[in-house]
Amino acid sequence: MEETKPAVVLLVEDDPGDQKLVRYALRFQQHQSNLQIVGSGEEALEYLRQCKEDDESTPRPDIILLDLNMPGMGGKKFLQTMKADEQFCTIPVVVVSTSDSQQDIEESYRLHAAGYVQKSTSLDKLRRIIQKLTQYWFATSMLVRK
Amino acid sequence: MRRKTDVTLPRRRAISRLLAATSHNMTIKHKLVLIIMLTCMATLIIAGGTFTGYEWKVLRQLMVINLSAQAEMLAEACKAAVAFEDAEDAKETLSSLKVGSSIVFGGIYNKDGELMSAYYRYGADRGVQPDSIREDGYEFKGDYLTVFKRIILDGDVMGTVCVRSDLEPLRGMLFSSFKIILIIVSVSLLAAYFISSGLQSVVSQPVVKLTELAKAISEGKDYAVRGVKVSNDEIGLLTDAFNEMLDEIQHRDQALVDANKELEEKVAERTADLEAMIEKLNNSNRQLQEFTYVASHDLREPLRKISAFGQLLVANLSDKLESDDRENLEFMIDGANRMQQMIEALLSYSRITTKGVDFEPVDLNEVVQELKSFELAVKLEETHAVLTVPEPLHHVNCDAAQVRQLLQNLIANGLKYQESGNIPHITICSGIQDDGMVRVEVQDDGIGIEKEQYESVFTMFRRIHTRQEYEGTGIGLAICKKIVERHGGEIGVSSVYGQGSTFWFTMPTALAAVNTRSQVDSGVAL
Repeated sequence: MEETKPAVVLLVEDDPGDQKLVRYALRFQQHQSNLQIVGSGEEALEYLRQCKEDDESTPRPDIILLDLNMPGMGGKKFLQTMKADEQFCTIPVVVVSTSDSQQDIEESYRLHAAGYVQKSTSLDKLRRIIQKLTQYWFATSMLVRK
Repeated sequence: MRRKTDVTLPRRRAISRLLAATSHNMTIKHKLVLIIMLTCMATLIIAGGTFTGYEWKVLRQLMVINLSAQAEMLAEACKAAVAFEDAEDAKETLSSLKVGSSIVFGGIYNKDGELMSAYYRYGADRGVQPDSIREDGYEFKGDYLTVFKRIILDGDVMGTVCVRSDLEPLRGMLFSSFKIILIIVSVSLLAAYFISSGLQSVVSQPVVKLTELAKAISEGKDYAVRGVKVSNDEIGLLTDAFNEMLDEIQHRDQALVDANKELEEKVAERTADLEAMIEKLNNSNRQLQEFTYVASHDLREPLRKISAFGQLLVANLSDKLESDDRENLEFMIDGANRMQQMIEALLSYSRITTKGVDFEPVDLNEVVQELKSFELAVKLEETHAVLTVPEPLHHVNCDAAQVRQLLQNLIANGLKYQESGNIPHITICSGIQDDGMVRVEVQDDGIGIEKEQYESVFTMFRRIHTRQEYEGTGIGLAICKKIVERHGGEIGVSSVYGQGSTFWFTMPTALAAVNTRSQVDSGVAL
């Protein structure tokens, strides 16, 4: 594993506040990451399309953090679409949502989500969640690196 | 009718009874024929008998006249023979009797009464002669008719003539007339049978028709048909009465059908109303659920922002903020956090219906054990609480997850509402009520509740204590109440203020699981 190259995290999140909070939480982590942010499912698909052409400005994500409730196609539709793509289906997607409804959780895993965490009210808690995620995905689990 | 017959006509009653007994299973047609035949036979027998009796009498008189004439002729003829006591001449005279085959004996007696000369029919024995002679006259004695005639000459009785005849001709005539009567009776009865068979229908046909009609009605339930009245006799009256009865029945039947139809229409109408109402309710329920879901999630988003960025502010400005400003910020964050909790509580309250599953038998002992090991483990350890289940709890039929939440809330309340520093003692017990429901009681030794508050503790967001005293959203017991009511049970509280409270609820019994109780008895020795 190339320790020097930070993992690329693609955050698919429409809420600027949440974008900021995730960026803030990631900054405090031991494992450095390259955070890319898009505001919707459509933008995320566009980002992945560009990955194929230009790896410099739009690096291929190692992991995707996905919000479910977004305007446009929404998180689930995006998940379904990208998991159907031969090239990107190997990227683990962790759903980060406000919802704790069983239906949302079940549907996400059915669409091959790699994890599901609920957005927290507390800043500390959010930091801990992000810490656990980075520790697991960047240090414990092996990712497909290209 | 029958009683009248009983009292006034005992003999006829006996005959009717005999008839009734023999003709029990006969049709009315055959009964009529039988009655007519019996009547005819009786009449013919009486007529025949009377006729025979009369003929018997006439024949006897005829025989007497004939025999008397013969005796008289003999007496005339034998006058000389008697006067001269000439037995031979007398015998000659007597031989004329041979002509009548029925005469068995003829005798001529002298004036002293001694048999002078006699005639016996061929083959007849001597004993046929009379024992004694009598004066003029005749007598029927034994099988014989005997005629005596005195022989008078110039006013003096010279002797007596006796002629005896058997009754064969009488019998023969009687027999032949009996045969004739028998033939007449037979022919008459035969004629009576055919005539009555033809005519009985005048009486029986309307009755048979009426019977068939009654049978058809009782089978087909068609009360619109009517009997046809053919005469003004009793059967005609019966037909009228029957038709009137049918009118009445048809009227009532129609009324019943109408009422039924009306009722069905009403039921259908009500059902449609109810269905519409249910649809409406389902609709609004769905909308409410959607609203609750959307509201709770959408409301949580901005709250999360207030809370998170407030915390970010506090973290970033920790050294630059005045203590007053810092407190203000913390109030803001706290407010947002509380609202978040309340929304979460509301969400779980709304889920009591939205997440309902089918009821199943649940072992409350297991539920308490699991609560002790998982959900309530930390709180029990923090407070050093003593949770006791003295007797194995009854099994209930319920939504397992909801009853788990119910017990969790009640136990958690018992742990929470305590004087600070007190070690909570919580006892759970159960029993079967008269109505078959299981009653579960959760008893604590906490601060207790004043009687006026018994009702309001179950009201949503109604809190008795300040948040400084006891944390909470004020929705826990409202959730408990909703869970219990969803199971058709009741919930309540009794308390001695300052000494503790007992929260109780009732749930349907799980009959299917009762027999497994013994298996868990050992597992709940808490």
